[in-house]
Amino acid sequence: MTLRYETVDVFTETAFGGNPLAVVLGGETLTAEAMQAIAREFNCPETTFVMPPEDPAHTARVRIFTPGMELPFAGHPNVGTATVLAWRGEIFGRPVGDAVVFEEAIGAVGLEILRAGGAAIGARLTSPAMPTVRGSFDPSAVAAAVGLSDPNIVVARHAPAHVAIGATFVIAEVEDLDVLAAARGDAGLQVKHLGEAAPPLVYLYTREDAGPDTLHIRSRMFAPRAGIPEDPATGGAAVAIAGLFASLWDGSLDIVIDQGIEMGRPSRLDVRLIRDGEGERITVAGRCVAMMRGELTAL
Amino acid sequence: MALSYQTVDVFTDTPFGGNPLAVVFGAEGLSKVRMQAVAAEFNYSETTFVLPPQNPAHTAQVRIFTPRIEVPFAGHPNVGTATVLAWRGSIFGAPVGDRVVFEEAAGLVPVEILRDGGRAVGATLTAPQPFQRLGEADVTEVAACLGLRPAQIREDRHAPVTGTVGLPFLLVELADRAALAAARPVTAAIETSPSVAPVKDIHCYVRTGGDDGFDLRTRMFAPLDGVPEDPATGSANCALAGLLAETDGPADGVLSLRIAQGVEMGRPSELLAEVDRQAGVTTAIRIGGRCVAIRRGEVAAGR
Repeated sequence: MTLRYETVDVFTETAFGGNPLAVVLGGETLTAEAMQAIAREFNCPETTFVMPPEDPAHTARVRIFTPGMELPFAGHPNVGTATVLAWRGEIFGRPVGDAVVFEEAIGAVGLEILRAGGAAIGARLTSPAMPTVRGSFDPSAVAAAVGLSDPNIVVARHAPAHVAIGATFVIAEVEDLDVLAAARGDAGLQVKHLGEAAPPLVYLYTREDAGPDTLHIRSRMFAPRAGIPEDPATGGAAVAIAGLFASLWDGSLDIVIDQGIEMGRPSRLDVRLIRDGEGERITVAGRCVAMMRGELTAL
Repeated sequence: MALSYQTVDVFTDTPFGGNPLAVVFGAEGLSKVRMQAVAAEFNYSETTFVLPPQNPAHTAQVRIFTPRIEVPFAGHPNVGTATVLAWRGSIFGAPVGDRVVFEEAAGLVPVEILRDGGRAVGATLTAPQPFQRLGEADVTEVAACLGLRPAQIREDRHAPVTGTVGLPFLLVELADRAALAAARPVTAAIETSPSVAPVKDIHCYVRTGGDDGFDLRTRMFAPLDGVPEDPATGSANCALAGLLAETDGPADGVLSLRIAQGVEMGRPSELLAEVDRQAGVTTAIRIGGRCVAIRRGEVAAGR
């Protein structure tokens, strides 16, 4: 059995930036254990398996694995997988147009393909649900968990928050870029100060500048307890932070997020909190760069 | 610029065990910065670049990168690269026979191809430098770096000591398998320990008394080099074999050690170390194992 795969850097337009993703095609008959072993072998933050949809109105069924576990939903795997399918032009005998719908454990996930002069350059994901804010954390504990001190955490707008969207995140605002640069991911510190039960994904951000309905932030995401010392671009956290701002903000909001700069994999995520006649929703868009393609021959 | 590559799991004959390696071809003219970026993209403990040899008597020049730095020598990249070349059958216009010689920053590295019914199944390398014993480390500090109690570290045969055959490791004997299973790298302790920080990378082991066909069980932690745990470390086990040849090897003959590594992290690996001894002196250290092909393709190396 030979599987085809492509890898992409997601949320960047520059090779070796963004967040790597492996997309595996032809794995319809694989067991979950085999998919997990392949995801661990690729050693990308996430690997997706693209399979025929159960509902023919959808584009594909997509399963998402980190090196350690399967996820019900995540941001960068959707953006990267949609872009790879758009580059291929067709999947399961049908053309890939400007809208794709993936069947995932969390439900149906819709994406719009972003194009420049006809060529696909990335994708915009609409979150399948609004995040929920479950509570808050003590600022001193969050500061200590990432190697910072109390006054480094900004609480004027919100306390460090516990936000869920598929995965759950600790989201905290920090004072400035120097503080952001000084933060570090340490599994021992996180358990010591936040407890075993706290989300292992700790997302820190600082404001760069703000306009009337726009915000530009810089962020870092540490998840050493999940085997990820630092994540270069976290789509799920981008949705989560927009959900957090939704509770603090009346209208629509555009958020530009730069992540991964400190770790040398610069990433950009374009996030929109949209409130209109259709209600409230969140989108995350990013570009992708093709990196590797080949065959998996070991099965 | 698209480069071809082959990945292999090294020191195993079972897919998804052992230590993954990416072997990249066609990188002549690629800058060191780009090679480093490609290695970071693969995100394996090592990626090699196979380049034409400076001296035509040698097989190839091989450069070895972790996700963060270029290293002068390492074991599993040589075993894996030699096996991939044997599968290809020829490189730079010359056939690949039963012995290859790689030009590396640490010196010339000869590697013997292991064959089974004519087919290449793995390789054995000879360490490029003699074993050297460097400084000892403080037991209390070493215990803190491994999340263990000092009593879980044995000092009767040797104190925790830095050994090298080209790449230094702190070699630590643990009390039992429970201590080996409980060990975990504590990054902050490694960074701040005066006696461990200069070495950084810790190779710990227990003697198993030949249970389940192995003489030693080992684990290697290098969190400050971006590798929290390595599934199979040729150079560390070469250094360990060099040390054990001094403490319990024969005065004349060959010390053979069957070593299992990576079991606790779910990537079981098998390494065979051999030390040649003459009149109480070590004359050569070899490490070998099998390899299995995993994936191949092309990688964009950037503009």
